Amino acid sequence: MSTASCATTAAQVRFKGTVLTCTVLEVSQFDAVEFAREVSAHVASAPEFFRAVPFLLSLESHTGSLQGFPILELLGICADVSLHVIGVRAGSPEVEQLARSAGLPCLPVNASRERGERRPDAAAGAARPPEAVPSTARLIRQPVRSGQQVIAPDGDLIVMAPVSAGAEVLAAGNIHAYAPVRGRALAGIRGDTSARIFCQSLEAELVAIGGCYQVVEQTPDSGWRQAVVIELFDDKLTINPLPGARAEG
Amino acid sequence: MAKIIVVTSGKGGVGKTTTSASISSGLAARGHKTAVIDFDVGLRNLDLVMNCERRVVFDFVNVIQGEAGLNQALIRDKRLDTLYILPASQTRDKDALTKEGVEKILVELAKSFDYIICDSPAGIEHGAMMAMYFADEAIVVTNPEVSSVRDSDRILGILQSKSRRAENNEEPIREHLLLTRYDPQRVENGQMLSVQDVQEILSVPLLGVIPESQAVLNASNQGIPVILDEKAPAGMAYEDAVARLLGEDRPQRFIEVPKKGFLHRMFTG
Repeated sequence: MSTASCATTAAQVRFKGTVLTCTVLEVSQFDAVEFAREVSAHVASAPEFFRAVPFLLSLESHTGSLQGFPILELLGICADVSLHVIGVRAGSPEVEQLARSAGLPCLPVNASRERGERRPDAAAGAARPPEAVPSTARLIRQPVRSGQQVIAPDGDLIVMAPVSAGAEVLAAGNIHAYAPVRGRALAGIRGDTSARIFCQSLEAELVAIGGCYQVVEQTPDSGWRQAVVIELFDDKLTINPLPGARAEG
Repeated sequence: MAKIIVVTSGKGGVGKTTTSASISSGLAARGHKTAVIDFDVGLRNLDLVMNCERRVVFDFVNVIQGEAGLNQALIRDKRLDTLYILPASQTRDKDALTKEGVEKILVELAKSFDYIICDSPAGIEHGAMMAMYFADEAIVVTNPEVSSVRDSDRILGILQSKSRRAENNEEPIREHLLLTRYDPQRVENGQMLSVQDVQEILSVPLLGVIPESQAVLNASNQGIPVILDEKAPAGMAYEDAVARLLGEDRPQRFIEVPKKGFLHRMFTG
């Protein structure tokens, strides 16, 4: 009997891991009146967005002590302006206890932030601009052989030897190839959609910019065996001849 | 100090053992004291091609495991007295090869030999890695065919990243491309990759082009390295390759379709 009921349960429920992006509502200091004013101004600027999107409340960047933090009052204000808070990240057992009593799950504090990488200037919901560190280009003179992978994790990649079929070249920035590229070329691997791929002879299996990829067709119209620049416009890869390059197959 | 040359390809059946036998015989025939080692543990073939299978008592693995001395396992070739063969074991598997064991044998051989030829097994697994790890030069054997070229490319990448020279940041392994089973007529008909096609893809200096020839199979079956067949084009092509390996400059001979004679044209139209 019990085995039968187990079988039924197994058929209905499955636990699966998933990763999804979530907007974080960061609160650096809390004054009930000021907070209500700020939050309602945000909601008024994009009511559709705020109605649809769930938020994670974060008190990690809160300046000052979280001792006796009025989290229930804060959650009340959020509920008043229809902000859907689905969880709390506080790092204080006392606050977490209160949040749980309000029926909200608590998440562990972000590990990278604990190592002191906090940026206090980040406004709620705003995407953080990438840090403006001068990037270094990586130069490759040896052929990149089938099965090899060459990555420029921070900047541009300059390749002066052929990239074989079955090889992969990746760069956070642009890829400049002064020899045939026959493998895969992936630029903007960290999401830089303005990255470009320049190559002397496009013979690649696949090209990608900022996660948008395309297999390359072997026709002269698609730039096959020609000097081209590959760019991303409106989520679509475009392949154009390099200025000054002869347009022939 | 001996020069260690690995004969490798990635893909099987392209002619590694044939090449190892011919190149080592060619070097020995010029008076260089040469040892050729069969790294294909478990699939012993080199001794057959060299016609010494009935003289194998101890093998490579026996020496690595200390069950026999190196001199007991080395077989002196009957035709060339400067050529020695170290056969593979037929009953073990490739895990019996350890980096330390292989190094110990190579160091000992290097004391008295001029050239050590390592006949690599196919694939990119342990046996092949052991054969190439200590190499100074590599002969990459390739057939004019896409999958063989792709596998050779992969092997070239491994040579430049996983060998001892690469790991110690020394001068990289010197690479040579040897194109085997080449048929100029089929290239002309567009059925086979040309020398230029293969070189463009692999960008490695060309050591030689061995024409497709019945003589290769005959020689293997008789246990005579084809390089000793002075009348066969394949034998001559291997002779040229050995000369180039030693730094001589020789023109490529067998990459064009042979011109038909006057009588031949008369009778075949």
